[in-house]
Amino acid sequence: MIVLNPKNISDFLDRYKKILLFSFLGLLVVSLAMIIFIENDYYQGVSFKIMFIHVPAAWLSLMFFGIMGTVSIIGLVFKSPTSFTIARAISPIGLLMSLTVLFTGSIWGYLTWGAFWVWDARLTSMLILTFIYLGHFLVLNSFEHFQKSDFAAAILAVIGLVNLPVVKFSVNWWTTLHQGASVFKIGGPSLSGIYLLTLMISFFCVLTLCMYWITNIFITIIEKRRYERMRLFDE
Amino acid sequence: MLNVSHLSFARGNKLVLKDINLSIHNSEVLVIKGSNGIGKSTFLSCIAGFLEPLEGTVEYFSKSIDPTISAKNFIFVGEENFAYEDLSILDNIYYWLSLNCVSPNQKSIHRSMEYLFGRIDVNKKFHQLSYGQKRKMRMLLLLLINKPVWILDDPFNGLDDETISKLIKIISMKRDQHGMIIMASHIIPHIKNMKEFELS
Amino acid sequence: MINNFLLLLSKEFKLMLMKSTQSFILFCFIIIASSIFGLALRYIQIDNKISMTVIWILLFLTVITKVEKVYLEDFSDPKIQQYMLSPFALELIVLIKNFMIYLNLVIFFLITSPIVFLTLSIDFDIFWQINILAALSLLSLVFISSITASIANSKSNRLAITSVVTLPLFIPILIFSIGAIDMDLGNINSYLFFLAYFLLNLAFSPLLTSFALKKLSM
Repeated sequence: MIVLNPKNISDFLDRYKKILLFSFLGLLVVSLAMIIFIENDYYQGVSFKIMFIHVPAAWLSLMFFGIMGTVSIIGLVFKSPTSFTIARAISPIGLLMSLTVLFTGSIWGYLTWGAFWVWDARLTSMLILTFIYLGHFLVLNSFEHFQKSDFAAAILAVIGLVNLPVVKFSVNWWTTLHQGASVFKIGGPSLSGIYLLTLMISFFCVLTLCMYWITNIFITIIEKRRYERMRLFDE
Repeated sequence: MLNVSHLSFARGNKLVLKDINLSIHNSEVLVIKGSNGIGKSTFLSCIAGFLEPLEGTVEYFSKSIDPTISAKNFIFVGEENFAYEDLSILDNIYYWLSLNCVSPNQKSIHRSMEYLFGRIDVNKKFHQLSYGQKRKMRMLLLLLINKPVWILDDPFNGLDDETISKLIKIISMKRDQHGMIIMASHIIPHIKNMKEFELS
Repeated sequence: MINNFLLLLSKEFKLMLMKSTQSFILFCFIIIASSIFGLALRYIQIDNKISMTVIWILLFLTVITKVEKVYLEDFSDPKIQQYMLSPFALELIVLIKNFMIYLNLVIFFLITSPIVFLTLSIDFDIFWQINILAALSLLSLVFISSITASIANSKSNRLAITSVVTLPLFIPILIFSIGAIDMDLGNINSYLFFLAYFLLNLAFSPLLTSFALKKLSM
């Protein structure tokens, strides 16, 4: 029988994080090769290839916030410290992803629209999501005792979950400058063949990298807590 | 009967209480002794259910303490003042009585005030009282709200000799009415049926 | 029990009236700030929307300050201990206090709004519409600020993070308020968002606030 406690989870992750690292490296080689050799877009030229980092980062930032929110609710309801540790591990990576989206999006926007920033619905709601990630990260490190930070940050993550559907559906609800959904929409993806395949491969590439980082952070936190707790009862 | 078994409490990474076992029965007075900073207030907060212990349980008549049980059975009088400074004495009494679902009875309020204070203007603002008078006001809560368990944190601090003897009389009366009194104190009063527990 | 609850409400109301000095000073800040803004841009034609944005931001700062101040006094450690031992849930107490803060702020806003509108040269024919918008926004603002005030007021908190954390949740209110001026202000649909946002906050805020107060203050 497998018992899910922090020690077992971190031992399991320790053994399998090498698999994550190697799959990331493999996918990186494949996706870079596909991106370099894929045909340029008729209108945008080379610059459209920013899509292959911009779109996966966007999907991941939303996904990670959803996971963070769900795990925070589980932690608050079932009083499980491991759930809070998972949220603590995801927080900086999610923040990094949302900053990547804004940064790459600004560059792509300048090359395509001529403006680094416009106040349209998709960009504004993504900015709000970044602020919530930032607030979550600050709160996690603002209390003297980590248990209190975990509670406070979990409360914030739950409130921030409300913003998630706003970001996803902002292009449908308001008329925006930003492009509408091309992959996750009713009627299936409107990207064809090789572009869709490249996008998916680059998505999994970035996903494995983020999972590797999150796994490392998670294991570090668990080991540190275990060491401190052992010291607690030795004194 | 209040049963504390294997209670440990840690604040962050510092262990404050380690493996405490004791039990208190009705009609008993328990005095918790210990040097400054040993964790007496923390221990009382754990018993009252304000803090979640690291390990161990606190049980009241074999039921684990939860907010319903503690709201129904415990009165907690801590070291710090909880009254509203801007409200008058009478308004404060009405507020804290109505919060505990006790209908204010003018006669019993005035009788208790007379017993503890003698003559005092009840319309005085709370912030105009002296330090000792503010501490005496908390004893009013004990007289007017009827709950079986009293948890008192350093109740004799700041009181004059007359009030200390009145408080000892009040505690003895509660003990005779089958109440349970747990207090942390440096002054050990002479009360019948009193147990002492040293936190180390 | 009902009688005790009504007595509690009356004493909370009295407490709220006594804290009016705080609100008066905060609204003096709003009047002075809006006057400075109007004075600085006196030769430029400012749109209703710009003026409304200024008012909304000033209101945001006022609400955060007021709620944090009230929570610092009213939810100190010994008071939370007494509230936890009361038959009334802490969520109910939080709800009552939030409504009292709201009443206080809304009355002061209605009194000072003519002066503020004058200094910012807002048309007086949309006077009541903007007041209703402000009243509805204040509802959600107070409830959002209560969550962040309860997190920020904890004794072991080392950073002053309230505004950073409240800001993202305030942005939808700002967007929809300014958007409401574009839409027809006579249409009820412009105001429905605020009602929805308030109901959402009403559902979550007392729970999360009392949870934060219990876990983070002790």
